[in-house]
Amino acid sequence: MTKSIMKAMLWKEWRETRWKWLAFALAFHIPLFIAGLMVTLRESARFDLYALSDSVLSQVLEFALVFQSGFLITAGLFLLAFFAVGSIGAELDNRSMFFLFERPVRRWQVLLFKYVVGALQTTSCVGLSLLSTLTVVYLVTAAAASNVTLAGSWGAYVLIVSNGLRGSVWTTIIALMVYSATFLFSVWFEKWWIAVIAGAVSLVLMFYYFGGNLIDWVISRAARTSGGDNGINLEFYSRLELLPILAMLMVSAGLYFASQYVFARKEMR
Amino acid sequence: MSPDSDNILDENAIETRNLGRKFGKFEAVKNVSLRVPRGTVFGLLGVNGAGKSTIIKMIMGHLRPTAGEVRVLGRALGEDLLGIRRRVAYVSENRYMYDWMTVEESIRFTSAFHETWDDNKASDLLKRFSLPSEKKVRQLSRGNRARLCLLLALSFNPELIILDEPTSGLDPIVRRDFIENIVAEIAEEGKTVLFSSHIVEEVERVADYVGIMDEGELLMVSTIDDIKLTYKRVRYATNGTRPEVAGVPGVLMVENGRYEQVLTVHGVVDETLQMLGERGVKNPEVLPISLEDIFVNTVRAERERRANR
Repeated sequence: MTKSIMKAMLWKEWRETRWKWLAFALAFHIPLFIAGLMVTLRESARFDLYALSDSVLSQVLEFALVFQSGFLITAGLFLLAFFAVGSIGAELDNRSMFFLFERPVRRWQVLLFKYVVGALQTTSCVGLSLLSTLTVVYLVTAAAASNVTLAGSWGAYVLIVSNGLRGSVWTTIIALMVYSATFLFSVWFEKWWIAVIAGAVSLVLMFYYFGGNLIDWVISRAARTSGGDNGINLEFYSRLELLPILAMLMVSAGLYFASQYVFARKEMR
Repeated sequence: MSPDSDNILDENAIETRNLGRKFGKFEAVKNVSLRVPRGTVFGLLGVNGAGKSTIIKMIMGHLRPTAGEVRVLGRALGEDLLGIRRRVAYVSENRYMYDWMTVEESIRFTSAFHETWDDNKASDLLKRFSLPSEKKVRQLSRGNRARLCLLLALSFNPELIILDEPTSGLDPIVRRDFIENIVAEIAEEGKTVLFSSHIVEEVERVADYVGIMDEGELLMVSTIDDIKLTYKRVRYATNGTRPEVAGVPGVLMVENGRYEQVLTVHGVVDETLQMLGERGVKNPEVLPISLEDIFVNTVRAERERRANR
């Protein structure tokens, strides 16, 4: 593959997916918008910004972290499945990919390109959404609450973000795995809606094997919050175990190579 | 011998040997051996579903044959598919393109894939086809879409151009321009053209060679001139009693009128006339035959033969 072909392929991928990527990135902040609306519209849920202090801010940030994590591991990854299907399924479904097959470029290179671009887009959305949510909450609160100072609350922000970073690693790797599975299905089935269903099923199965801890953690957090327990348990986020991470990366790689295998044997009727 | 000298010596741009393709139990292409000589225009003629597109897709490497082999520009497909695609342009029946690109973007995008891309040629064709460079592909008429496909196919100076039903869906004016001017011009540059069509007059206008296909079989390959020389119609009055034509050499098809009988004869007209004379036919008339008649009669005769099998 020459430099000019790589440039052209990159340009095509970017032009094809840029708005979808932006919409996807925004969609990953839906919980933030919902929380904002709840706080603004519901009298009982409204925070008294004047009463917020540096120490209370950390609880607000923890709440944001739990809220966003819950979204990511439930609805967020289903969104991801849709995005992954769009990255190749649509092109196979409407046959526009034939245009590339008529050019002097190898099939596996076309697929690799699409996989890498799609994977970067999806994982960046998922990985960054936790951090961007925390940062937006922190900045808005610090700017609006008179008792919160940037200097005084910085420590709380750093602590929550460091936990959030670990959470980002987990969710990003899970996202990569879901993306890879849906990518395989969209190469396999071509019809995008079949791939979405298959992607959703794989998502449920993956959570059964890999994401159980994360879901338990979010559920336990929600239970504690409703029970009025102010203690924050970031135990899960404080651990980054190498073995499950490696296992998930290997599953993703396996799914990618399976996509290549299916694609190489696919006939373009 | 170097591969390049191999290519120069190979006089066929396309060669298939006993090519076959099955989809489940359905045999879409049966034992097709086809040779497209370099520098010629070859028209593959057949009704819809005859297997023309399947053969073309196998030649392009989009479909794998279940039997036989394909050589393009002297190379086996499996040997050097990429190298072949650098030298072969293909315009599919459905004219696949990226609808969201503008004409200009499509040209720029495609040019990146071909080292032999000729910018001057592309801009000449853009002007000649009066294509609106700022318009998106999805906004183009069918005719302009076909022209854009052709522009993208020709601008990298391919040695072989494969057009699958290039005029399908086009209005008669665009269709005629496409066939009479463009294909003829490509041929004048010494390039090889293989095109499929179900419209006989298109093939008759520009093709040097014609191959007639039906139900996956290649029934006949010949030059247009040879076809017209070797196929004739023989007409005679029957005066109420029709002579027995079974066993008369060269008879492909018999058409019975109220007072006359018309035979489509291949190859051995003199022998045919002699035997008809022996069977009481008086003053038979030998008439020229159109490609359409040859096509229809060849296909009908083959179908009758299959039905009687």
